[in-house]
Amino acid sequence: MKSRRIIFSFLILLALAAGTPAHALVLEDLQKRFESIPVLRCEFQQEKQIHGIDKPLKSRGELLVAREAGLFWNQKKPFENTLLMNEGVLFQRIAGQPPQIITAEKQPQLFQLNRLLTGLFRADRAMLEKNFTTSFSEEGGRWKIVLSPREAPLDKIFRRITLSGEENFKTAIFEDAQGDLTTITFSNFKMSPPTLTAAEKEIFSQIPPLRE
Amino acid sequence: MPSRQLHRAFAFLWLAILVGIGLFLHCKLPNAAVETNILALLPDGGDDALPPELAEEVAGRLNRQMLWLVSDSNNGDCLPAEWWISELQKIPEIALVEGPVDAAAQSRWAEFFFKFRAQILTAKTRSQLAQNPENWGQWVVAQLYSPFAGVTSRELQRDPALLARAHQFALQHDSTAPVTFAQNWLTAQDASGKKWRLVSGELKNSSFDIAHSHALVEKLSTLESELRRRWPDSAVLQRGALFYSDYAATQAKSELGWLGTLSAIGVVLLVGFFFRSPGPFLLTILATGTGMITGIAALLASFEKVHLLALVLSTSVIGIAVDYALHFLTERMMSPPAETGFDALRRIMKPLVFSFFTTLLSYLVFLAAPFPGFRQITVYAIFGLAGAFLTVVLWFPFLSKKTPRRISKKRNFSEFWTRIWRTHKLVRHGIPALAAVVGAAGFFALETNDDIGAFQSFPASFRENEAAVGALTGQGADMTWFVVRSDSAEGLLQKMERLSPLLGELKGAKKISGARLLTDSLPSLDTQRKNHQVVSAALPAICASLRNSEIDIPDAAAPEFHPLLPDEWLASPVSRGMRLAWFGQKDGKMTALVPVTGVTDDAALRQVASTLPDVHWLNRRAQLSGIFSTYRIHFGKLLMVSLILVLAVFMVRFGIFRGLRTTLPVLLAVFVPFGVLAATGQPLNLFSLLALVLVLGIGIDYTLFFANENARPATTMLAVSVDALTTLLGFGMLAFSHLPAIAGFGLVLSSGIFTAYLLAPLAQNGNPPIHT
Repeated sequence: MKSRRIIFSFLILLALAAGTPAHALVLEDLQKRFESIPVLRCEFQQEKQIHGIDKPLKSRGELLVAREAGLFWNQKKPFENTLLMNEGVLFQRIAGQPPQIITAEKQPQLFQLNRLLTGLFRADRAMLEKNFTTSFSEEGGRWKIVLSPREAPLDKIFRRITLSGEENFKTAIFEDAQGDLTTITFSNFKMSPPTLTAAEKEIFSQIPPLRE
Repeated sequence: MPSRQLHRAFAFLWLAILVGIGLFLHCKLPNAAVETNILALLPDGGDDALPPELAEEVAGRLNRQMLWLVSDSNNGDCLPAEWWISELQKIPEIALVEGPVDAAAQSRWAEFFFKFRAQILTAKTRSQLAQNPENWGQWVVAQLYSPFAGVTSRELQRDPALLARAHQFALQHDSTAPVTFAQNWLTAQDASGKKWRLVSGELKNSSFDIAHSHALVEKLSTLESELRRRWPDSAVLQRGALFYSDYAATQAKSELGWLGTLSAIGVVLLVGFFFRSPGPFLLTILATGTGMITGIAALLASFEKVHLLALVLSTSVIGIAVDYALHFLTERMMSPPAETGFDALRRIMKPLVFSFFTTLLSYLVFLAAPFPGFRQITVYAIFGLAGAFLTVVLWFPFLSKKTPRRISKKRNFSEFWTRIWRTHKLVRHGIPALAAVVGAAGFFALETNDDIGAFQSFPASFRENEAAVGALTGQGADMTWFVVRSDSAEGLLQKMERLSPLLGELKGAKKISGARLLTDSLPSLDTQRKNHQVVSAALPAICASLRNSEIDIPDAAAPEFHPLLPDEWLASPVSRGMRLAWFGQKDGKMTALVPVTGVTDDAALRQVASTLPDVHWLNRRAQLSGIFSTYRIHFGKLLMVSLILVLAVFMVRFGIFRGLRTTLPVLLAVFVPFGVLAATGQPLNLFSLLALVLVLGIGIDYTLFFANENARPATTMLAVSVDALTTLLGFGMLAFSHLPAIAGFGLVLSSGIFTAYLLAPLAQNGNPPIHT
């Protein structure tokens, strides 16, 4: 359930990315948009700044989100680290080590961030407004949504989440309560072919299929 | 006549004793404890190494446990479960109601594992840290890079090897339970995706006071209806020994009522029909009544708690107790007008005493089996029969002055029946031959079954409920554990840890489906220290590995060692669900349980226990079945020896041919029930054998009455007929019990007694009746 929502949230991120005019950013619309995109591919760049570590952790790779099959986070640099997930499992593989399998249903606590993303991007306005104060701003064609948690436990984990873009959705910035900063930048979106290729299907065959 | 005066003195003495018994009952009866827990009727532990008080406490603790699963409403909220908890908290008999885990408990839970992150390691984590800390370092790096892991700087600083996090992964990975933690609740999900919230509680008292526990079950059932009324799409599943014991008690109580009532009505009708006069009728009731109160008084004096099922079985004793009265009254009725009650008594005294002692003897055999329930029945039977016997012998001659005397038509049938046994070869050979065929066929067709399931019979709804709870929680209601004991807590934990790899092997070999060791979250201090050393040794390599990946962190030292002792564990929410397995100091030794589920090979587990000192394997079901089987064979042999003994005595007494002929009715009476059991598809078990012991004890009387040189076959036949009928009424009713074991007992007894009765004329000697 949880990771399904995460996938969903990513789809919404990507829906945002797919050239949504900022002023038309209505949550209900997002949900509709999400439903109209079966498979999305893009590239990502992630930069994590963790207190106590001087150098930020930079990584890049490809992201594949398929509504029916799940999400494939394929980090290529600085080392191979793939995350494959659907509603039921998170399957993490580091080069040269046996995969680690986490069942989302068993230990949702392990999905802290995911859970938050879930709450954030469920396109559930009531829920969003209950948990976050939102502010929207636009400046010279560049728009920004800032979400600030209202109360515990969200505020213990997150200070602020900022989504921004220009013509396209571009970045998601997560600032956690300890001041750690994660910036994910998306680029190079592809929405065709609308179905998974054989190679992509092969990837998802490693995890049990989504339940309906 | 001095003997008459002596008789009178004894009669008064008996009256005085009865008054004493009456007073005793008057004081004792109002607060008599009746046991309804079915297991209490069965043998005590049988495990000599485990003190009975401990075994009792183990059983008591488990009997107190209650579990509820409340499904969410259709809106997906857990209001029904919340409502259920609030209602449970209002019930004074239920304590320790646990439901949602609040934020405070959750953070205490996390703090616990964080505090002991270097001391509580799974076996796999320990070996990974010891053998390949570099790989561990790479895993930490991957966690840091993962957008989904959410590792914070704070976590990294405090726990650079992410040990607390890794432990959660490991716990989750090892867990086979489908129960998860969602919305602060322990939650199970059914096939349709519906969520069920777990609520647990404990009864304040484990001993089952029938009225009280029944009221509680009713209360819970009312609450269940109320819940369904408020949330029609929600439901609640309830699990607890309480429901079983209440059902068993209600059943037994109703059986005690209707079996007893039917027996009594049957006996009353029979006696009424037979004597057609109020005198003998009242005397019969007097004899049975004094028998019953003597029996009950003996029970209350000898046992702390009287088992309800023992009472049910005891009602059948009435059928035998009434015989003494009937025997006397028949004799009295048939005797010439000039004779007094004393003459009648004198004539029947010998067979009466003999019959009393053979029955007594067969009940005494019951004592050989270690069943508290049968001990109670034996005590009841011996004293009940003695009471009835004394009343008949001491009082009846005085009280029977005005009982009707008629040498009636009733003899016609008896004379006819006894005569054709002498004159018709077809009868004399045909009926025993038929009985032999039935017995032999049954003997070979019969199956044995020693499962204690025969002692329990619950409606399908119980099984369905149990299956539903089992499917949702992954926890069967298996009553199988290792009991581990030691002089110290540390020793105890170390012993349990030694059990751990063995359990892993058993699981691998599919001999068990799982086991829960509390040492998973409470390792011994020895293990804690070893784990701490492993972590200390691995940390530099892990940090180096991180630095190789350009994650610049300084070398970290292992967290300070805090000895984790049982008290801290018990106080922590971590021990929820496992606290029950910890018994602490019991009987001079520290004690804990290791619950094991899905046992397929009991012997393998017993083998494991036998190799470890102070580890005992408890599988009550298998153990009881084993005892049942042992004693079934035991009693089988005893029965054979008895039959041979009877044969030998009869041959010495009556000569070879007549000895054989006299033994035959009893022998066939023991075998015909095999045929009856086989025909009705019931297995042979310990209870059938016990019934056969009684068949022998009672059946031999009939034979002996006929074999008596001075007996008048027709009078004997009449007396034996009434005896057999009342006994059949008493025991035959048991065949209608809902408990297979008791029904089988009743069936064997009644078919055996009937056979003994039917064939008894075979034992009569060839002389014509010496009737005047």
